[in-house]
Amino acid sequence: MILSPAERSYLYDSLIQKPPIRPDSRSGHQFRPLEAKTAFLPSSNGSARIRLMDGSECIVSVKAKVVLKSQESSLIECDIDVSGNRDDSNFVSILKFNLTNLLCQNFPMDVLQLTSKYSYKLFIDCLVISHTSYPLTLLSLATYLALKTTRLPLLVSDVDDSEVEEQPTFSDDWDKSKYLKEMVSSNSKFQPPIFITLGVVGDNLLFDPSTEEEQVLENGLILSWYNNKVITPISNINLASNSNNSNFKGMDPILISKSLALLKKYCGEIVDALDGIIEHDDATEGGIF
Amino acid sequence: MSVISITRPTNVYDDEPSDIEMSDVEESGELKKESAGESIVTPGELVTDDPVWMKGHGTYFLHDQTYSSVAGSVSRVNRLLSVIPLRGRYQAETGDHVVGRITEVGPKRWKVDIGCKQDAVLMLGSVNLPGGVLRRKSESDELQMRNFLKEGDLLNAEVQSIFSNGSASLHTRSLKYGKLRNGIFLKVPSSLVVKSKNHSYNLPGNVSVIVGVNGYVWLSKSKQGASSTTSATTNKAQAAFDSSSSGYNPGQGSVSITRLEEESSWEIYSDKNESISNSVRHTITRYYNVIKALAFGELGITEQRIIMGYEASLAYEDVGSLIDKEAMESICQDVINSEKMRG
Amino acid sequence: MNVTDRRRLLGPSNAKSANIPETRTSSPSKRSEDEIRKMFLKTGLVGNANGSAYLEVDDTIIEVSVFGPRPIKGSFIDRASFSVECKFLPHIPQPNEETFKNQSGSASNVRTGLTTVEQKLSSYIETAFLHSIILEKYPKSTIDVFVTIISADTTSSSNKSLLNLCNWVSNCTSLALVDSGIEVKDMVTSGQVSLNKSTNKILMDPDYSNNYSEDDSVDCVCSYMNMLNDVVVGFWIDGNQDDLDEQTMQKLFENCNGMSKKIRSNFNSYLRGTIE
Repeated sequence: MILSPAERSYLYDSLIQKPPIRPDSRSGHQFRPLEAKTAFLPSSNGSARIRLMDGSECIVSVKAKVVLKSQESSLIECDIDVSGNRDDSNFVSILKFNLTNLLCQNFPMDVLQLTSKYSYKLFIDCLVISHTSYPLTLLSLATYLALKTTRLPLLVSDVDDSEVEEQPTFSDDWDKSKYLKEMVSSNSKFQPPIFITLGVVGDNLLFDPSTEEEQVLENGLILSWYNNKVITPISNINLASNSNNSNFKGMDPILISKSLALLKKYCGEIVDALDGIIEHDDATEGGIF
Repeated sequence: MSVISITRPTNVYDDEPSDIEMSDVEESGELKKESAGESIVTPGELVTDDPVWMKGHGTYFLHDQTYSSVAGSVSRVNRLLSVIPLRGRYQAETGDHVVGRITEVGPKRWKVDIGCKQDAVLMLGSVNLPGGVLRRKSESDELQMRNFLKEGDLLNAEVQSIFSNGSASLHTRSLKYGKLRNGIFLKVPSSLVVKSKNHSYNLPGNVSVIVGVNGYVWLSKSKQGASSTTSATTNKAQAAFDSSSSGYNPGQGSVSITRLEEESSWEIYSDKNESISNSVRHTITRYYNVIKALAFGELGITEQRIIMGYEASLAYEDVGSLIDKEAMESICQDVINSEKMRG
Repeated sequence: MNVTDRRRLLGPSNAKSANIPETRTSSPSKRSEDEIRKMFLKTGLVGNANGSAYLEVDDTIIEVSVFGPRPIKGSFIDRASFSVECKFLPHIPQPNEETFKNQSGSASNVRTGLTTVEQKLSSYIETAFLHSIILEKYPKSTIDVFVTIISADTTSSSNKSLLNLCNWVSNCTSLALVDSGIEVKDMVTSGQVSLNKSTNKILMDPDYSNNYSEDDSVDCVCSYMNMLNDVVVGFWIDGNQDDLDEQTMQKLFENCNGMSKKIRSNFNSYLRGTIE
């Protein structure tokens, strides 16, 4: 996307005001309205679909497979497909790197344990059907919803198979299947990590920058949020993903510290909103858009 | 104020306010009421088997019968039968006031994206150049075309003519056309723009809007009246400064009386915005959201409706809440209601 | 009896074995916590590039070539486009590649594009240098940076050695850009530190290969422009940190900045040396 110099300077001058004047008048910490639907793919263990008003849309499906623990290096594998981008392009690879990195480091892997030899492995397939702004937040929110609604069949065979040559067997009854969130130990809450992207303009930090805003940002931040805490990985990123943004520049480390406080203030609400959707989502009701 | 709002998807075909009254589909596809002024057809549907009709856009002719090739409404003008697609790309027509973005600078012409199937053409000979409206285009003009308009620049123009391949030729030979400054751009579906005599309006709150027939919309701060001489002189100085930075110095430093005209016309290609107050910026965002809301409700976009929507939106103190679906629906409902009241 | 063996060529009778000093089993020289490992630098090695730099730090060997500004064909752009491609030599193990390799990929032996790890590295460098290069000076051209990682320390199973590599690649790229003569606002130099959570101790330029306990630390690589108010142009914090607070972050940044300044002064004296 290329803007005219007059548009750029108008947009930049508006965003640098205190508080920023965003084109759609959102406040700095306000997301664009989202629509979401969970558990709509019948052949997946968990799924979610999320979309923005402008047509950006993302589908995530979680499938589980029983694997021998000794043969797997990682119990989570993500695959991302962005329509219009090659799978080996930098754009897709970076999305994949970030999401895989976040989940592998911060997922409670013990919920996937089956027996002493076997374990579940989660395959997370993400499909970005359409996007205008940088799709990482959308992807990550959809992944959150999909993981939270992931159901795994109930193990009926013995947990301890270190001595016997036996493959795990499962209950046929899908109603007995368990949600991932029910499998975590009771004292902790199952809350997959999410990514939040922030745009930096002057001293302002903007949640969920739109594609026009991305063109004039001075920098971008990717922060992760897990169990009500800011966690690693954290990094900066050029959200416009091209080199023709003349406003792009370095930032004061103070701003990065400021972003932590901002996340602590608002991310709770984001997670609550996501949980609210899961609670009220009834698979039988309504279409899938 | 809420950080995020996530809703469950609702059925798109709920009873949303809509301008287009869907006429009930006839039981039998064969029985087309030719007397009906307007009816909805789908691709492949028989429109008429009467060979007297001339075949227009959106139709095809097979075995003496005329079929529709698009989904849309049938239009009959005299003997010409055509189907106007409900959605689809904008089709330029001579005289349309459009907003476009330069995509390419070529030999003696610019390519302009106006949302058509093909990029429109703006010839060097169809623009006003600095140094008098009626002067000849010289070779030096050809060499510095990028100083006038470059890739990414937005302009408003009129469709001058349509080439045989369907692409449009534009012109900006009027003071109301030309480069756009001091505002923001947004897109709406071109089918929602109602053609009228005038497509640029001054709105309450010191904001102007250009609603291009192609669905490209430009919201900006209103131009100051020509009476304020002080601002005019500063603008000239500004323009001189800009042109020097872009490599062309028409009498830089010395503003002689003979150069005056030349410099004032360089202003029309300036990239510098005027200083815009925060209140105007806020008003622009309000109009931005109102137009988005009208487009969301699939209401035709007219000056009247933009103003009515704006008035309805004043009920919302926080303009940022206008991006929510309920707010947009309520604004559309208000617009429809107040239209009904006026009759 | 003086029977000489005629079948063989014998050495002189008074031969002595050569005095080869005993190879020291690299005893990890005890660095202090705020000491950077010794590095070897050389610029201008690649003849057909517009600028290049070579850097060695312990097991990490990096070569960076800069090509450009080169003219582009086709549409006009008013600023140069900038691209970075980082590649490991084909048989070099990549840090943490197990996590990111696409197991479902069928032809794993055939390398078409960059791996995910290489893409991440490329993207870090690109973001960090985007502000530094004065792209406006080179309209209608491209500036391409090619990074070859000849050897890397990959003993750590997490991202930490990748962070360290990011640090050295960005430093090396900085030198290569200066060598190419492309106009930059300031040199970008980076620092990388590791904060041990239990002892709350900072380790500068950690060496992950030497029995380094990595379970309990948070790591940060951060790139600065030291002469421009120490602005951060790129950073990446990774590691096992479950609650990142402002103090920790500040501490990480401060120490990265300290390291970047040391590297900067080293680079400055190196560059002065090459000119004289």
